[in-house]
Amino acid sequence: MTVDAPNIDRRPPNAKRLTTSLRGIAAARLPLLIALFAALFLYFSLIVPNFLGAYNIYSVVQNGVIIGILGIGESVVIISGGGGIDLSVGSMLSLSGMILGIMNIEWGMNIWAAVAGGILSGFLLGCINGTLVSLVRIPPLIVTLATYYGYAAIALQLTNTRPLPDATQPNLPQSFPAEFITVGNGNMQDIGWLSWFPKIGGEGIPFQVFFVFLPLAIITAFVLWRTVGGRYLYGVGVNALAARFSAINVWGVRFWAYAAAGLFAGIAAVVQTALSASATPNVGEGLNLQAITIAVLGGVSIIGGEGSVLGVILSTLIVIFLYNGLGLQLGNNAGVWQPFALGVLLIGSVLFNEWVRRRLSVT
Amino acid sequence: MTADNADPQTLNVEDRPRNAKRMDWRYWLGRREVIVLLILVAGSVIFNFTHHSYLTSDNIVTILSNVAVVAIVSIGMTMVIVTGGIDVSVGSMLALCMLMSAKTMVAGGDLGVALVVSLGVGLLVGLINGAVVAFGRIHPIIVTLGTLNIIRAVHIQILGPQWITPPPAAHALALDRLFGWPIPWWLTILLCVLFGLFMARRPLGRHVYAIGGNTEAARLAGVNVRGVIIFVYAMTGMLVGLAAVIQLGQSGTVQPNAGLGLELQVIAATVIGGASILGGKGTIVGAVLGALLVEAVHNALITIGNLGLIEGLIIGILILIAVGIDVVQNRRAISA
Repeated sequence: MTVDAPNIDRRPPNAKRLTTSLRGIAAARLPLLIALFAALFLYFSLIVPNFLGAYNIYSVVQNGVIIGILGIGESVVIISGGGGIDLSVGSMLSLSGMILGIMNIEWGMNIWAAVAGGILSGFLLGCINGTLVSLVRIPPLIVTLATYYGYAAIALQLTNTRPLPDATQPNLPQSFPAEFITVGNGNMQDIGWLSWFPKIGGEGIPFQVFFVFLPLAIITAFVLWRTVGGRYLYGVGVNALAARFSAINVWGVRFWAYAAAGLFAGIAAVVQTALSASATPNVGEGLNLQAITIAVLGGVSIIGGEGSVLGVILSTLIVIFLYNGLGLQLGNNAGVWQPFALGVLLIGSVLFNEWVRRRLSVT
Repeated sequence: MTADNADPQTLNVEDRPRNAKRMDWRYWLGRREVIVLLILVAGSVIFNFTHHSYLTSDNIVTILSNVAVVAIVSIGMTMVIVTGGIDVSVGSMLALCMLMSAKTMVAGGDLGVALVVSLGVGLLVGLINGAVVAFGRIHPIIVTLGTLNIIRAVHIQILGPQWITPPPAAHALALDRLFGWPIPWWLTILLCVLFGLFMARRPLGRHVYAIGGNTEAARLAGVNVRGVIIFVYAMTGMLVGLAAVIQLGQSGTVQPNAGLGLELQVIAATVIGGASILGGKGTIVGAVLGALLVEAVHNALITIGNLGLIEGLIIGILILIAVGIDVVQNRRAISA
């Protein structure tokens, strides 16, 4: 036996296989999503006349920021494992948006203080979820199901289902300040020192994409991949027991995952309120399913410990353009088939995830 | 409990008779069914002090007849949750079953045919749910979140822009009374007893608990895990089918948003009644009592008036308290 035999891999035989198969999943996911997105885009461009117009794409991206932010928050929760899921992101969005509206319109506070209040309340709502999950240890599904209905009920009760600004109360301001509405409707080229940025097809780049979504996505990706806390999150998600034996505070990490989802919902609420120039109590109603679909389609494993921000961004693009394409193609019928397509996509993507996992773990 | 089947831990009962006695009533007071029943009765009596119309026989009959839909569906949901699963698509399923049975009656079928159609549709959808959960090995919440949307879309597409109003014959099952109580409530009691005995005594019923307790152990013990999982989802579908016919008679029309949010009420009833979302624990009687509590709260909020919007919050808090108590008790039992 020579000591320096060249081709001996000293790792146990399984280790190599495991890392290559994990790489296989990670590597296969992104090309697959890109291919799916390209196919979808091509299909709608050929079938629907106005789909490829610059204005359409501009407005889809502008609206997509909200669900994209929710999707990233949802992904963080699902990655934390232990049955982690957050059904309440849409309700947190509604409630934070209403709090923002009430602070600015009813209480007359400065709009940026109200924005901070909205984001903070989203964060606190997430902390309530996190406390119930990690301190009381109620299963996440039950916690967020309860808070899903609870937060939505509070959001409706606050103004008795009326949106703010409220036309029936003439003594209150009838709109949000113009500079706030710009956050949701402006372009980054509107700002002096960025006006050199090229416009695409005559349309600028929406303000919230450049100043909210991209920074959030980059920071989240950085935190997940390059910081101790982010690595802990994956560790907890893959194997909570092993993480505990490595002296990781498993439930502390999970608490912060739910708090982060709340924070993201609060930020999404600000963008939503600015975009529609009104705080509507039921605005987040259908967003939970979309957020979960985006996370799962983007390669976040429902059992935790797997998923990347880039995958989530790609799947956000797929979902928003699918919605938009169906909307343009079907007109009034779209309200029926958009959720249908989403349901098929959700089940299909998880089935595919599972199939890939089993396939690669066998070979 | 007789001394014959005392387990080793309680054999030294004679040393501490007072303690043993306390253990005994503690056992009964610790039963979730008893707690829910006590809260229900005490809460109703206290509430009646301020709102005297609450405990009148008319209002009680209203509660009993309104609770049937949620209670019947929660019988199925209990079985699903006991296996460690969940079914959030029951609301959409209810809508589709209502639609199909209404269409049958409009086309000239009588109530019996409509019932068969409704049960059939429910069974079919339940089988699909169960098969995807069992063979796809996908988490049930994902599967049923998906089918929730798919079924709702199919429902709205078939319904079209016109609401459907079935002929008055549809009211028979829902509004008639037998010995003073509404027929839906009798049906609920019947099903509660049937399924309660089934879950407690029949091998298949015990298999449902076995899967929820430890799926791998159940499989090694020879339980057909996939078969049982498909069975509980299919059974839930059929119970939804029955509930749909009752709901159809009570509401009189089929609307696009029929059954919306039913899943929350049903899951609330089930977990308040003591079912553990982690599986292996829960009783049919508990679920029916839980449904009664939820309906009583709903009715009380209507009696108070202008609090309807906050109902979601109250039911959410009830769920959290019920499950929270359960979780804390379990942790204490493990650490003791």
